[in-house]
Amino acid sequence: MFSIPHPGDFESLKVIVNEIKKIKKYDKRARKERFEIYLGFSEFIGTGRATLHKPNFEELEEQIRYAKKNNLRMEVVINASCLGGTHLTANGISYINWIFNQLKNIGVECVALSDPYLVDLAKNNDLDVNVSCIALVDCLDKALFWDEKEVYAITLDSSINRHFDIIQEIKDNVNCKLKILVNEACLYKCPMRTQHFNFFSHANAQNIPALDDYYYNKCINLRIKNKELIIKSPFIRPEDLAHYEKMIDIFKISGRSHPIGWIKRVLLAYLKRKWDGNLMELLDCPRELQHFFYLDNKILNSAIKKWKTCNKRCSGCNFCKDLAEKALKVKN
Amino acid sequence: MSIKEKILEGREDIEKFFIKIIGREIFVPELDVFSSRCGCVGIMITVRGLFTDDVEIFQKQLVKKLEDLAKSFDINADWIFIRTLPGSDDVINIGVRELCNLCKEEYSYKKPRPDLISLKF
Ligand SMILES: [Zn+2]
Repeated sequence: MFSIPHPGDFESLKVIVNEIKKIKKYDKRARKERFEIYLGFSEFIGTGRATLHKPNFEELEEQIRYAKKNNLRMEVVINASCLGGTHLTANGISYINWIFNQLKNIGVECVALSDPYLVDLAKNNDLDVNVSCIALVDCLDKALFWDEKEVYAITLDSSINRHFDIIQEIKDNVNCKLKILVNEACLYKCPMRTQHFNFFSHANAQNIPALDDYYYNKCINLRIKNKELIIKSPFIRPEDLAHYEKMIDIFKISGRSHPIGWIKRVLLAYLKRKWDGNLMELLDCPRELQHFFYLDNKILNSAIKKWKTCNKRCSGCNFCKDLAEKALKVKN
Repeated sequence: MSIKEKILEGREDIEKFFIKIIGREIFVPELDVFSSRCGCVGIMITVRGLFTDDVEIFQKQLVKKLEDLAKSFDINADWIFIRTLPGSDDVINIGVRELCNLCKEEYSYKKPRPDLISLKF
């Protein structure tokens, strides 16, 4: 199954649905594929990404009806990494319960959450839960914790995207589905991940007039200075999905704050499992760098073999560094 | 006219245009002429006090005005859009852009992103 980013407005949903219909007409594999769509819902609780459209319940209901009619699962993302303690107050609890109840009433099947307490509340309201990547599930022990809550799926922390041993161990020991982000392309083991998600969580829910996104700017600068970081970032090429198929149930495409033409391009590439040209054009987090770097997808063809068995002790290995030299060029 | 004079005049001109056509104070704090790494060139106008309803009513005149402005900088107005504050009707930017191929693929939609509305694409 594929999980597709939805920017949140009806227009975008229609573009996505049309695109799926179109490709199903001429692509055999796509015809058999199932799809879900996820969108942010930043009301009070916030989410971990920029939200450019905030649908109200009525609009959401209309969109869910439309999605179901077109055979799409719809997932509402409420995955703030920080709730500032408000969720554990009497008001907070009843408000969140009310939100979950409303979502259930308008036909939402599943919510993506990162807080265990919210997961309990959602389950009490008969909602399926997808554990968000913001819960940073990067080992079996964390996965077991969530699996015991009988969640629908766990989205793995992208930092373990290339740790095949850990993914396999999780797969062998949980009952829920596993989701993996294919193109998020944040820094490997990003030291700023928690702070960045916290910043978004509050900025979204409370309209904080922040001056600048420090973490984003820092992240881009680091990659310009050291382009090996781009190769080490745990993206999965469209061609490499096959290596994950036995372990992973849902391939999640990242990028709900980007223009719909970009989303369409990325979706098609992953559906076809093929991309010719600049791989930067598919990567979410450093999207602006698609104009600066050319990452030759062909040259990465066999890298997955190394990554599958790599012990991730980078100080004694120059594989990614050498690969960056070969595959990554500054565009002129 | 020097480039500097042209930009100064452009900002003032657009502000006056809005005030005249809409009939109330609109503030244009900044007008930028830019080039991007990708190859796009364009004009970005910051506005205060303008709403999507206003734009809808005067869309035709506004597009014409922006096309002329772009032409004065030798820029083709391939894409003209407004950017709204998420979740509101407040217009905060107006953009005119001669698109590179990659951006054409990403942005050539009526609503390429929930906070962007294309007036011409
Ligand atoms: Zn461009």
